[in-house]
Order: sequence, then structure tokens, then C-alpha cells
Amino acid sequence: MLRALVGRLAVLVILAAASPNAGAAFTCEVYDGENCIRWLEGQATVKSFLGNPGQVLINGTITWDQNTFLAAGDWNTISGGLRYNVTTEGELRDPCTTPGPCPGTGAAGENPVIFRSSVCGGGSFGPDVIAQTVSCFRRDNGAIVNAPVFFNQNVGWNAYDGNLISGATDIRRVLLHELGHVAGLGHPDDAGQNMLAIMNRRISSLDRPQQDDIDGMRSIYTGGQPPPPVTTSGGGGCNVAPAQSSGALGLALLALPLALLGGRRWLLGDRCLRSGRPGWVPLRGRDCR
Amino acid sequence: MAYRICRTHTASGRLAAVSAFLLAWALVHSANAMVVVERDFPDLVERAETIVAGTVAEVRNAQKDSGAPITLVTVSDLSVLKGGARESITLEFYGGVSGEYAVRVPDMPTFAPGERVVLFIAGNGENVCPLVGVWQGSFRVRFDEALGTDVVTTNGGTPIAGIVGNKVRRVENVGDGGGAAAALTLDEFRQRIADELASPSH
Repeated sequence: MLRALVGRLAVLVILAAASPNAGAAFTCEVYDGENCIRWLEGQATVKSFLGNPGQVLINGTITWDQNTFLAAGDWNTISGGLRYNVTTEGELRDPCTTPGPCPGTGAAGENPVIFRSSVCGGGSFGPDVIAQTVSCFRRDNGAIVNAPVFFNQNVGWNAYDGNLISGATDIRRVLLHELGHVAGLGHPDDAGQNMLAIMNRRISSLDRPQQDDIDGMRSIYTGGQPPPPVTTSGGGGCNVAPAQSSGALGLALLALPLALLGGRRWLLGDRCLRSGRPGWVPLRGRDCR
Repeated sequence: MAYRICRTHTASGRLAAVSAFLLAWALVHSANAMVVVERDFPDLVERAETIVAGTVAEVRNAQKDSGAPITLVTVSDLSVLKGGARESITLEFYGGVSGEYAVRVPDMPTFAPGERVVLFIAGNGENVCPLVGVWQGSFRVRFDEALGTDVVTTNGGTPIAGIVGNKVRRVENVGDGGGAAAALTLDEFRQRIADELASPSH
């Protein structure tokens, strides 16, 4: 009796601690309460006009824009259905003053990445915001028109891999995060989820896309097809992400030691993982807010 | 497809479980920074020019003089916890609807009429977001039937367990409602704010 109780308590502790690495929990920006915004053509041009830092950065790059190429390359390697075309050529047309479908975001199809102290007449960054993507999209079909990225010029930027360095914000991983927003991805930790993801709004020592990020990107851009329909689970009134095969395998690997320790049977479904109380449900969508 | 893993008891199994736990623990507790600067509870209280509890009365789209789309959120039925007394306040958030198009900022909190909130406000009309730490300065209030009282959640709707070591701690893994009993009540939250104002931690 005591042994079983201890085992199950341990399972709950492990579940709480280990949940970041299992299950699909990606989120996306939605246009109709359900479906993701997306680049209908399956590609997006990013104009990187971040310029030259005047020094060699920690990761060996000598321009900020090189890091835009690196971050876009990370997504291009894994996303499949979306390709970023990065350029530093041509004229920078100010997104704040260039006419376009959405006021204050610039011309359609242009996604400049720039340093600024404010966001197009919408106000200053204030003391808290270090980077911001602004997405303009059609309300009827979620087609993204443009998504300029603004980096706060008053932040102490550098570029490096690995653990975070106090006083030096790594622009490469922030670029990676913001380009995820340009694609339409949201924050998986918005609804209290605890996932390992570069798209978490809490930037961590992670510096490359994680499986959840990859699953999210592939969910939105499955070879130009619409994203899979979102189904509703009975738990918490939340939409549940469609399972990815790799995610299911991850869940199985996670659950194995749990089952051995806890001495109870675990059912890992491809829609929603239920493990008794507290339940554990991969979430998706702004409905979870 | 579903996987079923059946009960066994082995020493190696327990070792694997403990290893998995330690690995996961290390990953969860890696260093954090934010695209938005992280603000702890004393930061929220100190940096807020105004702190209010109230009900969202109206949400409407507008444009600034610059043409930038904004969303105006009016909160009424106010209880002012910091700042001058008033009956309502209208907050200006960057982003909104412009004809057939919408402008959205991924981090920006969104509101609906009737929602009850506690907001830590600073830079209204000046910054892209009028809340301290963007979503960090936005809390939701809902009635918890099990507790029979109002409880406070994060902006994303996760119940708050409490203020621990100056951090706002969420109740984790509450997918089916478990953990609600540990949620911070609105009265407790208001008291924590009052205590912080009376005796600042920083």
C-alpha cells in the first residue's frame, strides 16, 4: 500500500518535472478562433537590415544579418512547407511609412528585420520589450501579408550559442524565435504548458528549434496544404493538437519509467494524454487562454 | 494509435525513472531570459503606475494619429489598488483590426467584455503595451466553485499557486482541474499587493 502510494507520488513529481519534453503543444496565431495564419505561397522574403555591430560577435559572425541567415536556415532545414528567402540587398522601405494593407507594417510581402526604439507609431518598446514581430493578415482566410520584426536598439546584443550570458542578449536565438512568429507560430507556454521549445516566450539556453517547434511548423505548412483540423478534447475546454509520430514516441519513452515506477497502466493516446489526476493534456490554440 | 505500457517492477526500471527525472529537472531549471524582460512580483508592484481590479466593459478598435491600429480596452467597476481613485480606465494596446486585415502582436494580451482582471499598468498611451512586463502584468479572475471564492490566474488562464521567493508561481498540470484547491484567491492576491506597497521587497 505504502509502496504503491510512494510510487504514484513519485510519478506525479516526475510528470510535473518531465512534461516539457513530451507531447505536441505548439500553438499558432489564429484568424478565426481555430485555424492558423500562414503564408499561402509557402515562402516568405525576409529583408535583414540589422547592419554591422562593429566587432566580431561571440559566435564568429561579423554582421547581425549573418545571424538572420543562420536563423532562417535553421527553419528552412526542418520546416518543409515554408521557405524563408533572406536578403540584405535592395532598399529598406520603412515599414512605418510605406503604404500597405495594414497601416504601420509596410508593403505586402516585405518583412524587414530592423533595429528601432519604437514600433511604428504604436508606442515605444518601453523598458520591458526587447524584440517584437507585428503580423498583418487577412481576416477571412488567415493569409499573412507581412510581418516586420523590430529589435529594440537599446538592448545589449551579441550572438552566441549555448547558455545565456548575463548582459549580452543572443540575437541569433531571438531571431529564430521571431522568425517563428513570422511563420505564424505562437507561444506553447502561453496556456501554462511546460514544453521545451524555442517558441516559448521565455527564452532559455535552447538555441535551436526543438521537436515541438518542428511539429508546429510542419503542422501549419504541410506541403502547402491547410493545417490539420483542430479537435476538441473534453478536458479543460481546450483544443488538442494532432499527434505527431515522433511526439507519440517521446510520450512512450517518457511513460516507460513512469509505468515501471508507479506500477499503473498508462494509456498514451494520439489526441490527449490522460494519466489520472492531475490530468495532463497537450494543448493548442488561443482557446486555451 | 495508442501505446499501452504494463506494470513491471525492476531495479533498472527505477534507475531509469530516476535518471529521467534528474534529466528533466535539469532541463526545466535551465537559465531563463525573455524576449520580454522578466518581472518578478515586487517589480510589477513597483513599476506599475496604477494597479486596478475590475471588469472589462468594452473592447474596440481604433487608430492612433500615426495611423497605427490599436485596441482600446475599457475596464470599469474598478477597485484601485495603486494610484488615484477613478471609476474606469481605458488602455491602449498596439494591434487591432483595420478593414479586411488584422494586425496582431503575438505577445499582446487580449480581452473580452465581461472578463474580470487585475492589471499592473504603466506607460498607457506611450508604450506598445500599457502593462508592466506585457502579459506578466495581466491577471484574470474567475469564480472557483470548489473553493466558493474568486481565484486569480495568469494572463493565460493558469491558476496561481502563490508568490514564492518574489516569483508568481503557477499551479502546474491542471488540465482536468486538479490543483484548483491550491489557487491563490483574489483576496489573498490583493493583500499581497497591499503588503508589497506597504513594505517593498526591493
